[in-house]
Amino acid sequence: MMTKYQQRATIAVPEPLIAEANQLALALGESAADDKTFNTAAWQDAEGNLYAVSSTVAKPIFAQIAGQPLQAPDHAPDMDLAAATRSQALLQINGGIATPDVIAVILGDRLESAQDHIKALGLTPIPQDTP
Amino acid sequence: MSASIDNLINVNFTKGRNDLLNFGLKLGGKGQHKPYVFKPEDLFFLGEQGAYYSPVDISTLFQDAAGTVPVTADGDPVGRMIDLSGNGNSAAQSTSAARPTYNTSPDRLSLDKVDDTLIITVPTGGWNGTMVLATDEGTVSYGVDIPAGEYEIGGVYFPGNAINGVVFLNSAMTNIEKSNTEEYFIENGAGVDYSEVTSFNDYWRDRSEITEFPLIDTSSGTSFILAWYNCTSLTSFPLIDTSSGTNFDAAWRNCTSLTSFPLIDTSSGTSFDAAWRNCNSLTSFPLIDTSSGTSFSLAWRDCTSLTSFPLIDTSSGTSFILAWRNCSSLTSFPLIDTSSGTSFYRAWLNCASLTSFPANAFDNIKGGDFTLAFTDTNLSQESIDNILVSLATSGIDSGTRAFDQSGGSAPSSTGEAAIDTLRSRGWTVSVTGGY
Repeated sequence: MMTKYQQRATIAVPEPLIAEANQLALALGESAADDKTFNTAAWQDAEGNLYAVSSTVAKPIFAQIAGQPLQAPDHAPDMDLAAATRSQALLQINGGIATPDVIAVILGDRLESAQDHIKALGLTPIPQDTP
Repeated sequence: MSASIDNLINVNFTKGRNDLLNFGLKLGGKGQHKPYVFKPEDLFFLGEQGAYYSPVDISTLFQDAAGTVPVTADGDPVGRMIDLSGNGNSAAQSTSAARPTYNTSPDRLSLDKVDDTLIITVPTGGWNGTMVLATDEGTVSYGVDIPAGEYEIGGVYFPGNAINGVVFLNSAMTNIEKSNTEEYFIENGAGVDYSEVTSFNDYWRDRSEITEFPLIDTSSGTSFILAWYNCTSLTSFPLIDTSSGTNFDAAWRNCTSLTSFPLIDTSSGTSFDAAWRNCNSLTSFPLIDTSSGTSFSLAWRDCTSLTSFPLIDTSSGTSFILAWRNCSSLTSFPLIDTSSGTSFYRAWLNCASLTSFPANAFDNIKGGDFTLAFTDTNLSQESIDNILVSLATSGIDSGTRAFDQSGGSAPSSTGEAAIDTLRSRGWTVSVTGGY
């Protein structure tokens, strides 16, 4: 049997957009807990802008659904659809590195690694505090 | 003698888990009876608390957290993994994007090391005993103390890239139980002993539940950055093979319960930044080989219980920034080789008990940044004189030239003469007594 999850999506959300991006995750996801998809902004770009990153296997229909008008799913009927729609408008799929004005997505084959996707997004972990 | 083997087994069943397992092994291959084959669920035969997970049995895996959609194919996400111990402690992940992926050959749950993790709700009382963790890179047993509440398997920091199996037992396993469990997972495709891993960066980071760390094979390891960072429950550390290690940055940082540290082979180590920072229960430190070390920034910062420091080889060391800051129990310091040193910024700041410092310590240094280096110390007059005279001897007259001391004694006329020399070379000097 072949899995339906043939792709891997890695998504970088600029820190100020985390709350709204979680509403988009709720709309596109499969669980009422998907509003916790993006948490700590633990990654940064070359300019020091901070991002929360999530990576997941995805069904091929992901890109199509992500471009369609959103509806509140059964698992989250009271979600903030307006916030999700605003986040949806910022989606940039396979458009290059993450920037603070978009929600950058790398969508590739399921066997690609999340770490490679993060490199393609131009992100690195925020370094440890020192002195 | 008429007693049958079955009778013998029944007798031993009543005596306890260890007897069952030991006796069972002795039976293996004997006579016409089927050899006893160990399975991790046997550890829970007498109702022991804990949990056991194995992706080898795909029927225990579900795509959703509620356990309604079974995992059926390589590549499916795993939102629920059933506990095979009989204790009902299933592991689950409610957030879709944070679910590990089931893969075959061998059966395992692959982690993206971004957000994939399964969560166990550890019951009241917690688990204090042994964890056998099988990953794609190694299978080893740890002593653990896990409090009640949510516990994550997986996450950003994990010693491997996949979960091949896990057992938590709320009591200490015997050695034979550990080896049987490890062998079971290895026979089902888990990695053996970490012997092929070169980068151990972040592997056991934030594992505050680990109370006992095993003697694993780290002989191929070159990088140990943050490997045991925040392992706050470790009281001792095994003599692992670190002979290939070059970078030990923050490797044992915040191992706040370590009371001793072994004489590991650090002869290839070049960077030790923050390596033992805030190991504040260490009272002594071994004479490790640091002859290749170039950077020691923050290496022993906040090791507040160190009462002595060994004469390690720092001849290649260039940066000693904050190296011994707040080692507040040090009373004396050895005559280390600082001849390659360029920066000693805040190196001994807040070493409030430091009274004795040797002469000639800085005769051959390469840089003069001693900003706040001896602020809040307790140097004797002889010691501050030693330091100032040695700095003057160095002849440094370019680059950063700054020196600060506070606390302890003011310099004598000998030290004051050295200060005059230093100031004539462009140094900014501030000392106790205000000269």
